[in-house]
Amino acid sequence: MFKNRLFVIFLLTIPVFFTSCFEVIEEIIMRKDGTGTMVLTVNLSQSKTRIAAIMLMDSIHGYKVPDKQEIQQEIDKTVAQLGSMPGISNVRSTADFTNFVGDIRFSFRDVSDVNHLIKALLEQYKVKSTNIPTYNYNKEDARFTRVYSYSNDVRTQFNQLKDRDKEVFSAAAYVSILRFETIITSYSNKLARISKNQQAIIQRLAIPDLINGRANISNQIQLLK
Amino acid sequence: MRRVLQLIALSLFTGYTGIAQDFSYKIPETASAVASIKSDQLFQLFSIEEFNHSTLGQRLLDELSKKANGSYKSIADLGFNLSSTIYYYHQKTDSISYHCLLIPLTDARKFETLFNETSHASIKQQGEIRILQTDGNKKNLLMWNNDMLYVAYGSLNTYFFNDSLTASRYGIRDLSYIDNPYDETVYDTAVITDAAEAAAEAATEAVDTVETTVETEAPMSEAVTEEIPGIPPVPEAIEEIKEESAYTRANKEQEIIKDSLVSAWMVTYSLDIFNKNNSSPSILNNPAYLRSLDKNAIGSFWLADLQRIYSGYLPYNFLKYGNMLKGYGSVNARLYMDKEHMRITGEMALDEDKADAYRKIYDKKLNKKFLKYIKSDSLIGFMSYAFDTESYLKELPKIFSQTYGTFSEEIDLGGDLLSLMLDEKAIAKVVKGDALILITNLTPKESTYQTYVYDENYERKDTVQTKTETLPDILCMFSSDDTHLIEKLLKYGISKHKIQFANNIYSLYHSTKNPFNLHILLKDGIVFMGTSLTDIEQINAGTYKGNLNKQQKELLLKNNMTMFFSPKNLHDKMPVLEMENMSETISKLLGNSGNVYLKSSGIKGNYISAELIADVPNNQENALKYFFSLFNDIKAQ
Repeated sequence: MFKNRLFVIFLLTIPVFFTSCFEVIEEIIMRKDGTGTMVLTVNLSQSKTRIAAIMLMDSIHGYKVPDKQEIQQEIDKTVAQLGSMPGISNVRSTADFTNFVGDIRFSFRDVSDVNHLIKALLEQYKVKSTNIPTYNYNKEDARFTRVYSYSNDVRTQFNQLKDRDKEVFSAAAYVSILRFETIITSYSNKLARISKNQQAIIQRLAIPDLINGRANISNQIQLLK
Repeated sequence: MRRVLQLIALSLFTGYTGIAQDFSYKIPETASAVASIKSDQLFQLFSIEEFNHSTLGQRLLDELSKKANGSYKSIADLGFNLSSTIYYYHQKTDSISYHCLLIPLTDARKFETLFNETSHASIKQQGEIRILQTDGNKKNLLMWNNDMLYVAYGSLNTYFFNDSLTASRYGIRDLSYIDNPYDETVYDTAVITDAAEAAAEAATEAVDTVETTVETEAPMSEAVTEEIPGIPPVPEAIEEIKEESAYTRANKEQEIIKDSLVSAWMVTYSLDIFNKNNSSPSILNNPAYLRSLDKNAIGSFWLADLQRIYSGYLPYNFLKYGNMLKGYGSVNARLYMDKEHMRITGEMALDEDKADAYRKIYDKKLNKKFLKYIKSDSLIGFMSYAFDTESYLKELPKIFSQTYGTFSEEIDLGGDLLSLMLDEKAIAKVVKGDALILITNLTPKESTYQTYVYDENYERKDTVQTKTETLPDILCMFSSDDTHLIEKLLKYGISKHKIQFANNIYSLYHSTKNPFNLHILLKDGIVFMGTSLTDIEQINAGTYKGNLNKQQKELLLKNNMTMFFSPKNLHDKMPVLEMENMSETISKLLGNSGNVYLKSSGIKGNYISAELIADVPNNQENALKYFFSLFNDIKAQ
């Protein structure tokens, strides 16, 4: 046991050398009738050595390190909770503890159900965030909108973190993919890119840019009626 | 409190050649902790002149000049005597805990220029002695004459008023049992107010000139902490808080009484210390304290018996757990700084039983065969220990039975049972109790990770990419006379396909549980474990070339426990590319730092000791200047 602990002490030297990389991918598949599917993926694979090392410790920087079971339990709890929310169905999740990749996917009756869901989750985890995006789909006009307004609160809250905690986000990426059944005729956010078949739109940005308000993810997408 | 800290900082760096004053005789015999710092030694390493012109010195002088509305060119202008020793001590009585500073002065008038006008007006004079009580709640006190400044901070012990008899003596009531004390009778209110006034009067008498303690605005509250408001005078307070609940109101009054008591006690106590002469009993009668002193040390620290302090903080009903630290005595430490090193030595006293137990456990030396596997030239760090496994297992139950005094019979029984089940000798053959762990290198390793590629229609596909990560190489070794059990374990691993075996080497490849590849070799009664296959292969073939230097050899062989870290070797191997923006800070810091050692050589007398040494790099004049430069490096980032 003693030796094991010594080993862990040496593992502690590892995190010093790496900036952590991770990516968050948000994918929404919208159908004409307003229903759809959402897939959220968190990929920590690039930092897997570091995470594997961290998971051998009890705590890091004063935060308790959860073990595999605890993480799985938390995911299961969230899945069960999502399933009971209005308009949400088919909730499924996967968690790969070798590569540290996890995703959660569900179907929604209306994209506004997603707005409620995000709000409920943030409240549950006591995240005080004022700038969560809200989605809207207007069936008659065939128009999809994501409204995102940056609030300085985020930056303020972020700045309250210690430097070593801030560093966790320094090389993190956010990818948003929106998919439709019909062709996109126009879209407002020039940072986004449209696919060759004109039915999908992608936006990729660095999470620090999102935190500091340098990037905007609002978009108004007009589909062919 | 900030003011107090500023004073400490000031006095640390203030120099003056005057007559050496030593006020250690003022420290009460029953103090539970004492720390001291010798300013004359500090200023030999870093002269006053140099300090005045340093960044820190300039900043301090600027700030002081601003605050005190004067112009300070040198820290020598502040009136502190710094060819002397500054003491801090802590004393705990049944009612109150004191934190105190004794700072020698050369010129009280110069010192007084540090106060602003409001504070000046609040200074009380009693003969030669001047008194200034600070902070809204009067828990801070400054007292000085021409030779000495005495700073005290007092806090009431929570348990003191738990005793109802004591409480009633001071007019304190247990409010939790009264639902609505102020609705009962007018008589009660009168009693409490009387008590408050009585306490206030007590304080008044002590200071002589103060009319009612509670009425005086905190004299230095502005200068000390802007946030803490002064306590409102008692009569007004009652008027003001009419709308608050009766409980809050009662509680506030009780607090006022308590504060007044603390204030009064502190004045009396401080005057006693101030008037104490060097023939009355003091800490100098304590041999354990005297042991902590060394004339060559810049600073020293002493802490009374751990067991005494521990049980002193336990409320009566927890006393049955009071033996937790039985057998552990006082702790002392010293700080040394010279041209080549910064050194901290520390000791802890043990009673006969514990000393005996530890002596047996420490009766072990590191396996000399380990030494040929150390490459001092490129080594980043190491850690070694040597304990006697057999003694350790035998002594462990004894150590526990002392600790859990009330359950000693049960523990004893458990200990015997353990001994019966364990064959200490057999275990000691498998794991002899010495080990050496080396961080030999940092090597880049390819690792794969999962990510995604998107096609032209942004459909995502999983893909595996590789990247380079730099990981530390670790080589561990421990002695074993009987490797059968270890071999059995490894073979079990092979049969479960967790471990591979080739050319005498057992290999465990990385997984989620284990971010390293680990290679194991049993050879010459040593179990080697390493992350570098090359190292283990060379050890197996007998071609591994070590180059242990004399200093490290001595360190390893003469001590039971050691640690070593070479910032320079780490600096040379650092993966600058991977570290991005952090690299500059860390690189500069590591590049400018000398080696660091930690060692413990076991029991001497009845003391267990340890020592921390930091080498001063060649380009630095001495340890103090070296630390100043490191501090500047960090600050500059």
